[in-house]
Amino acid sequence: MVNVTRRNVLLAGLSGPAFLAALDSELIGSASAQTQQPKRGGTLVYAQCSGNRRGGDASNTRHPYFMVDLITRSAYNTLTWVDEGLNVVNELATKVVPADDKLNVWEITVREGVKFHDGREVMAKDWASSFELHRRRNFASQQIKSTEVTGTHSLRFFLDAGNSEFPFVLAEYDNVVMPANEDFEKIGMTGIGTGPFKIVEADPQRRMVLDRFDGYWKKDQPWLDRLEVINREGQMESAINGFRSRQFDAVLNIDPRLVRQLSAEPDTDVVPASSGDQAVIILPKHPGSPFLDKRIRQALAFAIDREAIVRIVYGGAKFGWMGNDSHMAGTDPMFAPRPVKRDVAKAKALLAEAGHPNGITLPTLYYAPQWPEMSRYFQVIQETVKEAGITLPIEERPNDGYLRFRQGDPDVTKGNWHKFAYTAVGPRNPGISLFRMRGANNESGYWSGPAHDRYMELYRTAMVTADAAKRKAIYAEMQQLCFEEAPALLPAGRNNVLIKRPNVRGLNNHPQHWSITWDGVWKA
Amino acid sequence: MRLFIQRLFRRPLTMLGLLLVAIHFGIALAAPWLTPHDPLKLLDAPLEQPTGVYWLGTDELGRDFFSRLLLGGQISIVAAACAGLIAAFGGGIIGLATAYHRGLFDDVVSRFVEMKLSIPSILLVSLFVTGFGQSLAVLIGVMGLIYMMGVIRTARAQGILIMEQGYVKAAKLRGESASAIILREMLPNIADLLTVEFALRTSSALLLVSALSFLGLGVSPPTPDWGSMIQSGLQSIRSEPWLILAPALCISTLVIGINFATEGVADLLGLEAARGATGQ
Repeated sequence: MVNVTRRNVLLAGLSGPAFLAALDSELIGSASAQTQQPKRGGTLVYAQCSGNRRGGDASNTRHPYFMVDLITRSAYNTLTWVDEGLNVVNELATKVVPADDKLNVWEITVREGVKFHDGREVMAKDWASSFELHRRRNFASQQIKSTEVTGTHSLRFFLDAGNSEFPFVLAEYDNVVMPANEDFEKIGMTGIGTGPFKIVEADPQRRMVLDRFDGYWKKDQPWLDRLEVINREGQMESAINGFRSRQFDAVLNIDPRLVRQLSAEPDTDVVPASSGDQAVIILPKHPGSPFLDKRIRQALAFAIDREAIVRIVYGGAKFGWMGNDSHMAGTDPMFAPRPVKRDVAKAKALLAEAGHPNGITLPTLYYAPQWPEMSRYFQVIQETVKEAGITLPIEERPNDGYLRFRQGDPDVTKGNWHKFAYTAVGPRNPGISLFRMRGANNESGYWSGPAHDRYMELYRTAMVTADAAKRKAIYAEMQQLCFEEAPALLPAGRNNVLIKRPNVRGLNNHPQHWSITWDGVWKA
Repeated sequence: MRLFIQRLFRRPLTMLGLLLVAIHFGIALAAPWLTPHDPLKLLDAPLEQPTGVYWLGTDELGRDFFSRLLLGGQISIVAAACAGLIAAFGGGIIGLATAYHRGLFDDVVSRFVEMKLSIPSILLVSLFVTGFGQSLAVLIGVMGLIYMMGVIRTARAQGILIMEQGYVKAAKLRGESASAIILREMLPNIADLLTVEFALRTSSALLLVSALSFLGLGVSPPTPDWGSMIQSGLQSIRSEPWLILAPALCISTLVIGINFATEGVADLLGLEAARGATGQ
């Protein structure tokens, strides 16, 4: 250990470089030791600016379903977890296996000794009860027909059809375990989970305070005493200002274009994820909609300059990727790039063929600033499609209430149609991502017809195909159908970026912002 | 009139105000011919520093910032001026009508005005814009309605004084209708007051439009607008501060100009009361 005394410093005048080198190595050595040895205690305050559509409505945020995606891995746990590389691993499950090769019955063994925040042990019946809620509410869990408790720590899931990627479904942020309740509507209202932190204060849509849970199933974790989550959706500037003024230790989901600026700021670590959220533009196909005509949808898809979005909106390929109009993230190994990125001449020809030789004015596209870059995103689309003769009016709506504003009635004959708008989606496994383009889902704009039927047939085949290589070929064909039919548009997506103080350790960014884990985070 | 102009020239602040307003209005009118580049065109060079070609550099989408700045006042000025006109004219007539009729009508209108004045303008406009959409017509209509309230009060107070005048009493004795008396006898006599009210409300409306655009509730992108330009410039406040300073300077010079000019003109017209009625 080198003591930094006046005598030592004076001596350094004689052998300065050697002293400084010793001092340097001592300090680095000590910092390195700190890095390796997590420290207990402290409060971490972070702001999140993500496009959380569930938190975007003032009327519903008291229900657990409208907050779990913000705190899934702090207050709750799921059976499985998708890691930063988008691979699925067990979390509270110790075994997840299909009962047979039809892949429609899955047997789960759950971890023993896991406790709820009230001290009660988690049993299989709690999982079964929780999934009574999930299968009614979570879009990916609707395939679960029923569950059967087969032991104190084992249960069976019965699906309406085979699903080769069912373990990914179990990792969905909604699918957390909550204490059993016969009335599924009341499940979760206590806020009790199994996560490393327990909720002690909740101000819906604004702030949540969580304290360390001593009975957490991972020994010695969590390291922090307290976690404070501040919701700053659509208010990234205030979040970053809070970070600069040291109110926050970290800010999640910042605008990728700010990386250059923030990297130059002192005491700031920029942590990008390998992928991230995306905006799916819904092309509603109701009576009278121009999007009933496939050629207009295709023209729009050909006219958008996707490379310009990545370049201008995200600041390059390091922080953004080009989409292929399926729900797949561009970084997914099973992603099939569009055969043609952009073709303005083709777009014009398609418009002419559809009876619009002089161009077309589309209905207003409504968007909300669920991510800070959304205004730029849609302005670039608007400007680049002009070249093909497409006039695209855009209008910004507030985050609060955007979901309700844009959504129409699934029954298009009722006349309450879904608006020409976008929806925020996160990167998931191909099975879940491609299932989102089913006709019954508003994200596909209620796509129908022979191509859709073929798409769903391929999906069903993929779901009972255990071989990943074979599934990849099927998924490629499904993505080709999205290219040909353009039921919806996904021009580009972002890589999630967070900033943190250098003394915040163990905080890894994740393509799925809801899958960031907090149990291993500590403050040096 | 000549005397009025002579007195005007002796007031440097008023002249400065008129000059600023004239410059801004002139630019707004001639902007389509003054812009060196297409203000909407993506030049594929976001956040470029100022150069000889792009005098104020480019914005976050790579559009020429100077061209956008020149056009940025157009919508705000049109919206604010139209709202000011609606407020002054509508508020003037309603205010005079309450002064003429008094009684229950006066009570109902006055309570309604007081009720509205208790609600912050920006909140009310935000609610309307969220409910009815972000069109320019909605924006103008709502702002006109909001600023009308203050004018109603001023016009009513002035109307009560006018009601005691001989020419109003004579018109009543002649058997003229209420609307004829309000429009032909009373309204021309508060025209100077309404002119000042128009200017004051326009100035407030201008700030409100900018604030709404800043909040994303005003002029929809990609239309250039000073408020939304400040909002998008926030992200680059450290590296490219002129992206905020330039539109902020435009808004402040225009508002200061209107206020200087209005104050001077009101003073010359002897409208002490109007000068004091700059609030709601």
